[in-house]
Amino acid sequence: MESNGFCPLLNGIVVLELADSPVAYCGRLLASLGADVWLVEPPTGAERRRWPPFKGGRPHQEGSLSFAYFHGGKRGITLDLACESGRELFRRALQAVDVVLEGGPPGRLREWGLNPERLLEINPRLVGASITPFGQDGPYRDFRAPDAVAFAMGGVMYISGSPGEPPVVAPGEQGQMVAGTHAAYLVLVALWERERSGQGQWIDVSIQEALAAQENLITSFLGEGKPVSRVGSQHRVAAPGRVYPCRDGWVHLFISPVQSGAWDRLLDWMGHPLALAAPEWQDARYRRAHVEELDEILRGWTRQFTKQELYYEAQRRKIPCAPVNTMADFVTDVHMQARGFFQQADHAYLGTFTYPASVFAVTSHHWSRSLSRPAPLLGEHTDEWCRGLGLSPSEIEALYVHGVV
Amino acid sequence: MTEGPLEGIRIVDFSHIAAGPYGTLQLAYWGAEVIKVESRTHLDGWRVRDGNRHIEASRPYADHNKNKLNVTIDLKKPQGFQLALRLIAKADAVVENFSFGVMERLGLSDDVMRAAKEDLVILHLQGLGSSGPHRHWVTWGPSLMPFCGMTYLWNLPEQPEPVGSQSSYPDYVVGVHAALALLAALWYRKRTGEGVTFDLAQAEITASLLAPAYMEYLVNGTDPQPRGNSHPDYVPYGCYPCAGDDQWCMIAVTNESEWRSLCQVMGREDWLCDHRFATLPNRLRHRALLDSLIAEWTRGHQAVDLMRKLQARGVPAGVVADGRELAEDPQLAYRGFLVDTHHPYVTHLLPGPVGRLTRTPGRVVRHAPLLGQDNERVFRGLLGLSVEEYRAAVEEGIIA
Repeated sequence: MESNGFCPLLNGIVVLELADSPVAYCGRLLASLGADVWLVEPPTGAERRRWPPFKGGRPHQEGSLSFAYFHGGKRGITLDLACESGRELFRRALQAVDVVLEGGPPGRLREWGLNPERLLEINPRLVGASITPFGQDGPYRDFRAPDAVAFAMGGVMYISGSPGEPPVVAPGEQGQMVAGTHAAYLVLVALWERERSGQGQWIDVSIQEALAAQENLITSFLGEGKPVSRVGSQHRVAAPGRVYPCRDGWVHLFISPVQSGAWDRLLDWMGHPLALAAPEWQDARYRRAHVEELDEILRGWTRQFTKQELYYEAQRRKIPCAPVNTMADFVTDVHMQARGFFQQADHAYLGTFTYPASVFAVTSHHWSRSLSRPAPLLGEHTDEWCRGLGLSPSEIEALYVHGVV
Repeated sequence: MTEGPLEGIRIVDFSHIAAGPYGTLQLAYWGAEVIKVESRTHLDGWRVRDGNRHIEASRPYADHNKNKLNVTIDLKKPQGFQLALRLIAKADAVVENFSFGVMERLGLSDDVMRAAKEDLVILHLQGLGSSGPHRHWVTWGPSLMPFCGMTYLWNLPEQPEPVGSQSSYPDYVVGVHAALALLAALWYRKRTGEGVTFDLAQAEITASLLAPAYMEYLVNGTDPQPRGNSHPDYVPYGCYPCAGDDQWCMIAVTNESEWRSLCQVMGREDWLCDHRFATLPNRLRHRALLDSLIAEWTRGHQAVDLMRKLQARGVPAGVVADGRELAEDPQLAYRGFLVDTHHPYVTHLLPGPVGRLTRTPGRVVRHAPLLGQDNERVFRGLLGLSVEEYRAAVEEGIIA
């Protein structure tokens, strides 16, 4: 059974995603795998439509590139869940829905009369997922936390950056993206279980937990009695083990103690400089202990090359070296281009643009890595959705006039 | 002996170190049977990551391999390869993250595996993927972040050279994407009877974390630069120093109401009428001054007290937590996040599953396996080797 279209793995699964920032990536993942995802925005538009970057730097309701990325692959409706008429439509729609995604403050759904227990009464097969910074209960339950704050609380920020300098938060919204990936596979766990039991359930994902589970932060402390700290650019044991300057930027050179052959190959490439001729340099521990001297010598050498020259030649010589790529470098990398990670989409406002497509590359089938549609215009599929619920054109018009849709 | 929503799913896991194992760990938490393949001559490097001499006493290994079974096979021997293939024939999915070409050299190409089990889900998880002109190039943990743009962007703006984060954080992100891929393919297979072969590239998954920055370049043609802890449109927004050594609090004011509350908490309601700070454009203009005034104030507070004080008034603030603070965090404690796996050597608590399901919770049912601990159960029990066959395989170093 071959399909030459988009990735169909989750075809047939219908998802209603409330346009809360913590679930955006979760919905995108499910859409990229073929689920039928409907973004539910308030009639004034999702908050994310106001998030930069914007096309041409011009704020516009359809110009947010953040919105374009995270909501690619989804249809979009507008619905006011703060009013009873809107909630009634939502409840009505649930019979034909498999999954609900939401990321509002704990308690919001209950305020709306749309709490999980109520929704599961309406559709006992429903699978719901809530993503919040700290989870649905606990002493921090009501803490406000944009992604950067949740990321700080998750532990990875503290170990990022240089000693003596402030810790540095990860660029972008990585907290919600990591939590969203957990939520996405947990949705599938629940759907899998539903096949057996016939029942749905609700999923509660905490961004803090998704981050705190990583990186052995807790285990290192519990095991050694002191927490891991920032180390800056220099690796703990490897030397070379940091970034080195090139003509057009930097490369990362890394020879760990177990890679003895790589040091010899590097010396060979460097033309066996006198400064590194002494046999002590063969010992990885010696190199690490004398890293400042080593780095000065290496910098003098790396400076003469471009990033690409060093990267390509290092790979040829099997020496661990990677360019410190900018976005432009990565996009133009021939390997990434060949793999089709970047695809094109057509959008009514953005025009034709290139974007990072699905990560789920498959070699057993000829499925495109593109998402099946661009991000929706505001309210683009409201009419279709309402007609699907059995509403007449005059009913839809009345709801629109009242700002319910 | 699996229990949980994914009961009945069997995965043969050849992956080592972090990314692959972290992915299969997620499925193991939810009841899948994950059979991890190592050998005495080819240990998972995570067993000795911290320089520990005892291969069963590794903390990261104990953390990332809970619930899994462990068998030892010398894959380089022809009979080892055959044994592995018999195992694969009984599996639903295979996961591997060797360097490109290793599986083929071991005889375990996609074609061979699929011939043993037609509807197998195969997940390849190389740094640069298993297709493309550089697929045979070598990648390793520390090279991924520089390559994907993460090292370039993850910096304070004034730095003379990029530092990034020395964590292996991308490994974990890759792992959870792998878990999603596996379940999506198994779902598809249930409907269609077809297996799927994935060619995941860790570089692409890691780059996706920076997607809006990529969009900036792709659509606007500008190459994003590091922003550190600030945001061009929000102020105050940043990492503020607190009392004590290396203590920090992330504060992110995102609207007028939070700004007013911050001023009230600080006892600086005068700022609401101060022309330098009264409007958003002026606050942005005087950002550096405002930040230094706030930092003067935050320096007088313990980070946790500051967070509580601000959050009580609805101002987003969070401690930049270190490992100790996570281990002692009251929210994580309330959620029962840390669990005792009753490991014989790693005796302290470890993180448990992320995510709560109302009806079918994730569970830790056994500690990370000791080397070869399930050889009998798997080779005799699952594959049906007789006592003699099993003994011979051990003697000949096939089960090794």
